[in-house]
Amino acid sequence: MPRASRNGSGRLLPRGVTLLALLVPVATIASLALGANALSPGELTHAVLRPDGQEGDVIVWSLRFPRTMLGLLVGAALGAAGVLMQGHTRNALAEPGLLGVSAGAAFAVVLSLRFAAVDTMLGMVAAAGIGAALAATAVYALARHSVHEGGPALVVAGAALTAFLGALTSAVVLLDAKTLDSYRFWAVGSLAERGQDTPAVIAPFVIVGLLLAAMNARSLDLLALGNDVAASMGLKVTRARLVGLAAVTLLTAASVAACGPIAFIGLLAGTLARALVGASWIRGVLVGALAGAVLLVGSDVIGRLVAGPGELQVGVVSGVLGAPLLIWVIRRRELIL
Amino acid sequence: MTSLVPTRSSTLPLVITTVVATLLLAVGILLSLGTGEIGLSPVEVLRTLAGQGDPFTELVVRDFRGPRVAAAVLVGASLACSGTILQSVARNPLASPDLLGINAGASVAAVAVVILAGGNGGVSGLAASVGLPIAALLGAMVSGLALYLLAIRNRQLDPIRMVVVGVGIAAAGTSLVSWLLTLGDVMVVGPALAWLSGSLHAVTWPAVAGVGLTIAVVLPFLLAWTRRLDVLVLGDDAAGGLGIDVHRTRVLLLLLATALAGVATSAAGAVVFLALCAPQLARALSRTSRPPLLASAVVGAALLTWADLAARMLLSWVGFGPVELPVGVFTAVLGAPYLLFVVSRTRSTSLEGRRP
Repeated sequence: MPRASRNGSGRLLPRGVTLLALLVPVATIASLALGANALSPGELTHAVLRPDGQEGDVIVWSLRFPRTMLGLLVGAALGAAGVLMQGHTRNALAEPGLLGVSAGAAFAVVLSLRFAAVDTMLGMVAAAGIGAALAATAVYALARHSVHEGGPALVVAGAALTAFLGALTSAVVLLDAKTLDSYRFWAVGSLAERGQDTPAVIAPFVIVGLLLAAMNARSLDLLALGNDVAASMGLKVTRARLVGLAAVTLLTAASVAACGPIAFIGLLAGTLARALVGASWIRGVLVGALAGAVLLVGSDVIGRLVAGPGELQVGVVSGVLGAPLLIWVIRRRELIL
Repeated sequence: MTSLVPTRSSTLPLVITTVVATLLLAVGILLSLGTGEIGLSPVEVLRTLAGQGDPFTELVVRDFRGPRVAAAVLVGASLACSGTILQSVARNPLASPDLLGINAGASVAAVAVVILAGGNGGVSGLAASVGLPIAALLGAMVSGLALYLLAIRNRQLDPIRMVVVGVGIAAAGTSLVSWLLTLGDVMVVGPALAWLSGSLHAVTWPAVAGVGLTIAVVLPFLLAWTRRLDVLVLGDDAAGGLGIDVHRTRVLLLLLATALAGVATSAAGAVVFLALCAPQLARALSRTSRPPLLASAVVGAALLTWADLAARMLLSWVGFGPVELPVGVFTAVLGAPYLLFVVSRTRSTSLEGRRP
């Protein structure tokens, strides 16, 4: 809140946001060029401008381009979902991974893989959507009275929900070796080998989710004043909460179905958004989406570079880099937004 | 220890709780030793335990089910003790080795040993009997130390900060474990995942001995320190005023809790929520101001013995065939709703200790 006055006046967008927007193409280019077989700038421009079937062209278009698009989409989705959840719960630690929403989506996906023989990305997104919506409603209902004070009880409720759903997930997975084998590669959270058309399948969900999030952010500026004040200023509080739930559900479901549960991207993006634009939620969602995209693609590139010629899955990189951030936030920051 | 519990009411509920839990534990042990593919009556089990069984029942009771039941008792007791200490030190009913990331540290170390040193056949020989428990213990110690250093500020321990730091450590540990799991062969990964969910399936007598030894060393020491636990619950300032070196006492207690949880985890994997629930259950039943140590240990042992019996037999009782669930899945499915209940009932102000 106190930061709003410092950043809100004068310039349309703070310098940090411009820098972040410039980082998106930088991360994209790095993701296209770097990896087990690093491409020179010449090879990359050749592949992008006049592809004619050379080795570099194939690498870029069949492997790295879908992967990068997926990273941008999923990162933007997780970042915006993180900001939105932080706004609704008024808790600096809220994000899909920590609050159990991703775990709900993951459990629903595993159930659908095992019992309904779902094998299309669309079916997985649908299953993940149901799971995410139920988990988000549950965690919000359970920690409701601490929500207004932005209490850390929400994080503990999320951890409990994650553990509960995780146990159910492993019960399902352990009873069937085939599900186990596909589960472990999906559960780690990775952008690799997700299929050529996955980005196209989840793109509509992410775009609708982002639009809903942007619409909802305007209500968040009012909700920040408290439910009663917001209602007296003409806001339909219940509808605003439901739109928020729908946006978080769409964004989380699309990302979990495509890449598995990836924690901390939402937390990082939300923290960055608040540092850059303060309490303006509508800008926060924009910055959160940008930051999420940069962070996820960046983590993916880091994972490819540090473990070459193999790679570290992006979920591992974000977990190992994100946990210290969580600890830093809880040590230094005011948790109540 | 009963006389030291600072309470207005009588110690009668505490005594009753301890006695009833002990009885339930004994019945659970008898049933668990007798139940399985080969059914034995409690009388047969008792006769075998007294050394008068035939060689066949002796084989079943001593070699097949013995280590498993003994492990359930000892692991349950040590996890409950660990939870009791942590909840008293953190002044927080939500503190437990699994929620605070101590189990995650043990899991990372143990899975690393299984996956990286195991080749295709899993760990065997010396690496399995000595290396795995020691690795788990070291992993638990490292994450316990990190937890303490990160949760403390200005030599003050903020209870809620400790829990969230723990959630962070646990999350980092979980993602490392997921990565380790993708490295291994699926034949190794299956057992590793079952172990991670907490399973008493493959427990051996040496592992049981390790847990038993740890409890035998730590428990008397803890009972001697009961008064310090009572005073720590009052908060740093009051405890300091009553003449206790808060910092040193806390480090030592945390070390003991970590050792108990680490050794238990090395034997049985990540049995979650037991360390959280057992002390609180014992406290509620015996109406003491903080979790009572001995009663918690007995309640924990009884809970895990019964949970293991249920996890072992549930699926075949409902007609699913002789498949068993890891006991940790069972404790999580039962324990997580309890944690959610506690969170939903607790006002965040009381959860946050002395935050303004």
